[in-house]
Amino acid sequence: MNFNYRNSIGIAVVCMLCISSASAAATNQFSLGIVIRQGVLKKLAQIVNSTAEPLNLRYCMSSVPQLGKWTVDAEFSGQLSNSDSNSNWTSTNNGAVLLETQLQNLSIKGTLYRGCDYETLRDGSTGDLVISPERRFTGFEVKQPDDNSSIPISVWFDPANFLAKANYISVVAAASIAQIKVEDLGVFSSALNGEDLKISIFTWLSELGGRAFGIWLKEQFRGMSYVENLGDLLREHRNRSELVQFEQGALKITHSKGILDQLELALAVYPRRLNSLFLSPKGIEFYFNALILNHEDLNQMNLPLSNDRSDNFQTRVSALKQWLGSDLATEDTTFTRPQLPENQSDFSMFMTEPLVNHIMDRLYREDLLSFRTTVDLGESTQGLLIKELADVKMRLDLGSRRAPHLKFQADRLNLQVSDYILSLGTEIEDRIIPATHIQCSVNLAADLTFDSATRSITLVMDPNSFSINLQELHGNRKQKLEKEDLKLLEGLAKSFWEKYFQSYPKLALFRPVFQTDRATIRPLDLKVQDGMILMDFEIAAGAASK
Amino acid sequence: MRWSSELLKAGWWLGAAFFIYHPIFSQGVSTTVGGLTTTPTRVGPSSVFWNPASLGPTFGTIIDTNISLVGGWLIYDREGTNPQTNQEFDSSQIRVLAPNPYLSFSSDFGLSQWRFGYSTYFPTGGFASYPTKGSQRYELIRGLYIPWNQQLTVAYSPHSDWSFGAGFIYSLGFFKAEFDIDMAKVLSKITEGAQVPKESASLNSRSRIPLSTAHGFTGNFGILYRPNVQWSLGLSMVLPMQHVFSQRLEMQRPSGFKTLETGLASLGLEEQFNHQATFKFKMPFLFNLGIRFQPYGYYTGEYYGRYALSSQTPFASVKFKGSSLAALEDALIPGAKAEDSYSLGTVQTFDLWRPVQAGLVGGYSSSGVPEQSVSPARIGFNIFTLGVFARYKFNSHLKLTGEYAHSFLQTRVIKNAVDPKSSISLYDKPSGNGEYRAGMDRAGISLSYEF
Repeated sequence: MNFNYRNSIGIAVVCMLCISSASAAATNQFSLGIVIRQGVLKKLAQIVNSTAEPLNLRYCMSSVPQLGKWTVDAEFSGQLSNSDSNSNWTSTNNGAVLLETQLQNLSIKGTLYRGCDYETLRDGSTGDLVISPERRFTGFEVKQPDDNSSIPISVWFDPANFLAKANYISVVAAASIAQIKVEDLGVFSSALNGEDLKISIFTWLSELGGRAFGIWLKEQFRGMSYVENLGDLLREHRNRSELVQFEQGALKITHSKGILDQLELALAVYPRRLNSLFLSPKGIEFYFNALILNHEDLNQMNLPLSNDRSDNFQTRVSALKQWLGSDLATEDTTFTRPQLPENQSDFSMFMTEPLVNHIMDRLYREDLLSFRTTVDLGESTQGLLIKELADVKMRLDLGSRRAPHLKFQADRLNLQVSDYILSLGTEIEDRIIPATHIQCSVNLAADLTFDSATRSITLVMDPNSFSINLQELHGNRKQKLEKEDLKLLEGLAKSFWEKYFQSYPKLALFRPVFQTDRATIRPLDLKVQDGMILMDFEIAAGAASK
Repeated sequence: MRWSSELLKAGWWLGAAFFIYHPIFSQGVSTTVGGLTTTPTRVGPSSVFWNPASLGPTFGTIIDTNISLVGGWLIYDREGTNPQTNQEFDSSQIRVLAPNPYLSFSSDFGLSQWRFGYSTYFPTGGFASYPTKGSQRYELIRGLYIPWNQQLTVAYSPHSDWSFGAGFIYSLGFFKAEFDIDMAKVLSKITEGAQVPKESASLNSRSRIPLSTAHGFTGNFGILYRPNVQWSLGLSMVLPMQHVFSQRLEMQRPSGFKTLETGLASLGLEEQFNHQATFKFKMPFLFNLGIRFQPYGYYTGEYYGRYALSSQTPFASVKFKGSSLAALEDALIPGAKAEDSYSLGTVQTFDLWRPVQAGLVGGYSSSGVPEQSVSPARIGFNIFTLGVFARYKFNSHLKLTGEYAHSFLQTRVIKNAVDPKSSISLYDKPSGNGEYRAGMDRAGISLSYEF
């Protein structure tokens, strides 16, 4: 289903603050999405089942009013079914997902205590629970009727808020199957029987499992709302690539780190206000807003600053994080829900052309300007053209009208650097004498990869695809270069840059929404498809042991 | 092979002349100085170059003149592919039509044993104009080397059987040239490792040696032995000669260096790189031998052989004296190697009826340019020449000769040409490898007047 969504003016009415915020950010705002597929349940079951040790759980219950609050202190062991037929989810019209699985080899041994003030039950010196006769009122054990049986259990999961709620029907059904052995309910036997206790325990287990699922998911999505400094990413990438300079004969390309050191660029990702969630048999689709903001953008947003009024970038970023967590965050961007291709991965992340190009724009426009090329004419021509060594260099500086632009082709990307102005001049000691200006257009095919070192989505250039077109800008001046001369310069430039990209083929873009530094989620595939960058992830085998 | 479109447009261009007998900047000597019928045994001022003793048997005062029109063509198909297009090179072609005059006087001044003569002629050399953008442009685009000889001859005939002759030759040489130098090597050094295209128009330095003149001096000696009416034997030797042209070589800055112009100017390099150099052209020893046999009154057979000792005389060396480029300072380009060459020929004359003579001319000349030295600027062929002539004697004073010859030039396929530029690091020059084809025709008229 495709639809267009126009943002609601109502949001701006609610908070005047958002007006200025939205206007500042509107042009920098894009959409990206993630998909969670059903295979996740099976992988999670594997994670749970790989836990050999029983889980010790404690929970405060108050489901029986006559008992007030009471504590269940239990040791849980069991297996979740990891077959596709037994682990399933069903999306519903009310925006919730019914997660279904089956418990096998279930064993819950526990003790019930009065009250939930756990600290008063604990020995101050050892930390162990002190079971006093006054607090302990009974022990219990829940298990399956036989080893071959399984207990179906399901939970309602609200993906919008990552909250879980027990499915009462499922709980009752599970309770009817499980067997319980209770020591002695004593005086409470009139208020609590074995069936009630089973229902309470399964309700608790259901909600506990659903909530753990939600928390786990949220962790994998970096909290669903985050801000990171792309400047840090670029600096880390450059440090790893040890890019200082590239030399070929008398030609030297140096990259001034000055601009890079000062580059502060925030990428803020947070869920859309509306149309952020779609449920379908294919999976759960989340859609996010992505904002790319520099210091100036952040200043214009009138973010509520904390007590620390210092006007530095980190302060603004912190304020932005708080602001994203509030209800005041900016309006949603217009977007079209994409037609997602069939996929068997656990998760997918996809982003569209405008977002990628905007990141390229903000990240590399100024960075490209910091490239400087010099040709040491004096040294290289000594003995050939001149007799004595002279300090004369040819200098080429880049000026830009626009940033590098990625064109999405059918199955790969094409990097276009167009309308760049190459200023040629002669550097004599401390003076630069301009010679001419040349407009450059470059095309370069690129593939996407996930760079595990920087954990970032990275463009990898294909040096052999490099092509360049030059045109002299002469204005009212006499044109200096003939067509053949430009062709010669194009050939030389191609030769240089092919070698450069053979040495430094990577351009870092950004880190994915998924948390990739915990080895829980592993990148599976990264490709360009249907005008989108589509990145697939899987839950790593053995992640449970982490 | 593909033909240059420029040539097709230009068609036959007469303004550019071609070789006179041996091609451009070659070391050989025309086999027909003075006309088709001149030999070391022929009597008269038209043969003084081949044998100064030929004046010995003359009487009174004689004027001999000859004007020939030489037409020729040469096609050079360079080996390999054009680095700019990755296709075969276009053919470089020259088509020319040029005059070759000869004029001489002789007189005994009333003396019985002494004869004196003056001759002016062009013994060798040539000039050519190749396509400006042709594949041969790094060797030659336009060029001219012409020695103009003025010869004073004295012959002594102590006996009717013997004549001895000597000639003093002053030669005024003319030289100019235009060619391209590929500066890719300079750019390669600046951008070490970069793929600098070879023979790019942007890296062409159009180089020019303006017209200059030089003086050359030499001499020749000869003996003519005529024991009877039937037999004559002629023997002569021409001494070596050289022209040393002192001229500047002007190299235009390649258009691709325009972006460097401020930098180059800062390095003290002007828009034009100027070099002062001497260009030395040497002519070898030349030996001539001829036999004349007249068994019958109506038939005369003349046979001659010529040998040029070219292997001992390097040709066309260049020495740079002062240069605005460091790499050419005091640089020397040694002369390309040559090898000895020879000619064998005959002139068969028939007296058909009293005022008319007719005859056949045939000859073979070997190339004096070894394979390693061949280039579009210096090519020698093995030449077979066949010609006819007819002479009409108006009276006892005046003779008129008409002549025509066609020369078959043996095609040369060069595989191992070597650039003799020595250790000069400024540029690389393509070799002269390729196929050379040529043909030549000559039509002339001679006039002899005896006072």
